[in-house]
Amino acid sequence: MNIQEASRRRSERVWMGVVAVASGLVFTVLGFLVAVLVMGAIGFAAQHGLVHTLLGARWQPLAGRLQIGLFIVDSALVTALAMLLALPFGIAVAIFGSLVAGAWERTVLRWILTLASAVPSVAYGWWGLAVVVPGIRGLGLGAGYGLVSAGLVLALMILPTFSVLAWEAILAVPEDWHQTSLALGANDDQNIIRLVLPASMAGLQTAFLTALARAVGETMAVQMVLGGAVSHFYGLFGPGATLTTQILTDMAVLPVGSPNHGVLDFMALVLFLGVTLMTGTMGRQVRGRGRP
Amino acid sequence: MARVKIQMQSVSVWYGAQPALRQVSLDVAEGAVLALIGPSGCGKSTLLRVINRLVERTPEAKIQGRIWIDGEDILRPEMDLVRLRKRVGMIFQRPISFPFSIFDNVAYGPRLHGLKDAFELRRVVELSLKQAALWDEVRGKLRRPASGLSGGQQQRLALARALAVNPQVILMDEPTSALDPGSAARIEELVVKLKGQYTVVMVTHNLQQAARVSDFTGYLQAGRLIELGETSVIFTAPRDRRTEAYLTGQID
Repeated sequence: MNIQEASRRRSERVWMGVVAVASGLVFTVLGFLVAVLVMGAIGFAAQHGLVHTLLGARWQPLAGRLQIGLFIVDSALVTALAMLLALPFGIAVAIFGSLVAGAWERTVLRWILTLASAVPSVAYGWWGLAVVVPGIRGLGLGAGYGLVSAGLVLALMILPTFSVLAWEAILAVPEDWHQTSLALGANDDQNIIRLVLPASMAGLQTAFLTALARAVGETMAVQMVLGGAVSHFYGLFGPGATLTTQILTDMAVLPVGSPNHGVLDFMALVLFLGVTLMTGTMGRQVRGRGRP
Repeated sequence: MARVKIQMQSVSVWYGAQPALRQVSLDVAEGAVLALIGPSGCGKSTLLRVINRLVERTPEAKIQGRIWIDGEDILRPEMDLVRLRKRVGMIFQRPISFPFSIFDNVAYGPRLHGLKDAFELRRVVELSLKQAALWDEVRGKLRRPASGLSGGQQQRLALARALAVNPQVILMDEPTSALDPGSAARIEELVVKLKGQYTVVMVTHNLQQAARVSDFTGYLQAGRLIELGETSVIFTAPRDRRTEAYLTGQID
């Protein structure tokens, strides 16, 4: 064994060590996080009852009424609205960018999307306050603060991320597949609908799930335009509160160590499990169906 | 001499300022197999792709000259590309199957052109697979993903998919270069079998293959068609020194 090889082996060992420590750290932190949430949540659920907490809609933290059913419904509604809006536009942007646009347009569009996905969420919330809320109010659809406003702001916020990921998924369809399809007499529309979209379905669904996970967890942009109604459902244009925004709101009311702080752990765990289950089950379907 | 199926007159192609094909004129007889040989980058693939106008997909590609198929000028601007490509099928170097089932791969073309009837689709798929000598290996497995097939089977699947739209001309771009010798031999057999019924233009790097399957052979070099003639003549008594040099391995 010469000196060069010895030093190569030594540096390999060092790197293996770094990688092992880093991944160990990630697992430890993640485990610690989940453990804290689970302990707090179990303590809370044991005291207040699981069904009672999940299915009710009374929220008065200082009076000890801690039911989170409405927050779950509002979270689901806001997210669904955002995804419903972002999906068609995102796919359209991705198709345009990857297949239709010329080199120049493509560069500009890509630059805009990258920039837009780096904008902090508080800026999207600010845009919501300045444009969406007055807009909805102007249409005579209530005060302007509400689920639809939050859905709109969220849709715009996840659009760049979703578009870029969908763009990449579509680009992954090999050039000779396009040529084969065109050589069989497909026109451009048929090529997109019958080949490109089905062939990139796995990647598109990954893009969708990534955007979904980001939408469910978003707090600030939603909080700024949602209105914060905690105990009653006022309809889609009415105000509401999601799991994330309510954790934020009541962090100060139920600080760590206070008797009912556990409900925040419980909400965070519901959020965590919800996202994990959703992306997990949908992801499994994708792998089952995707490229064989 | 049979009827002329494809006629090219002074066809030139540029990619930007780069000439890829210069002033190529040739006739292909109906039902014949024309092999195109020549060193890498000589314009063989471009010549193939200009016949179904797939070359226009390359940015900045420019075509000059005239091409007629059955007397119809296919380079004219108002030519319907869908109709052209229904008549001119193509097989590529890499065996390409779409990430669908075997059935959906073969049915892809007919469905594009509006065939919906399930019974008729099944009939077309079965017939095409039989023509491509793949039916016996895949019958009863048509719903399985095409990617489960071997490379040679996938290339025959690609042939079946092309045949399913009922073309008259088939372009083949080095159809066996990615296959093992056994699979390559099966494709060659198929080309010989298709002869007469279809007009085949085939690019190949394999000189023995050109000699075995083709009726006519054209030699290209630097974008020019140096020589074209009956395969037996080209291989035994080429008229041009450059053709001879290539055939004897002095150019590559």
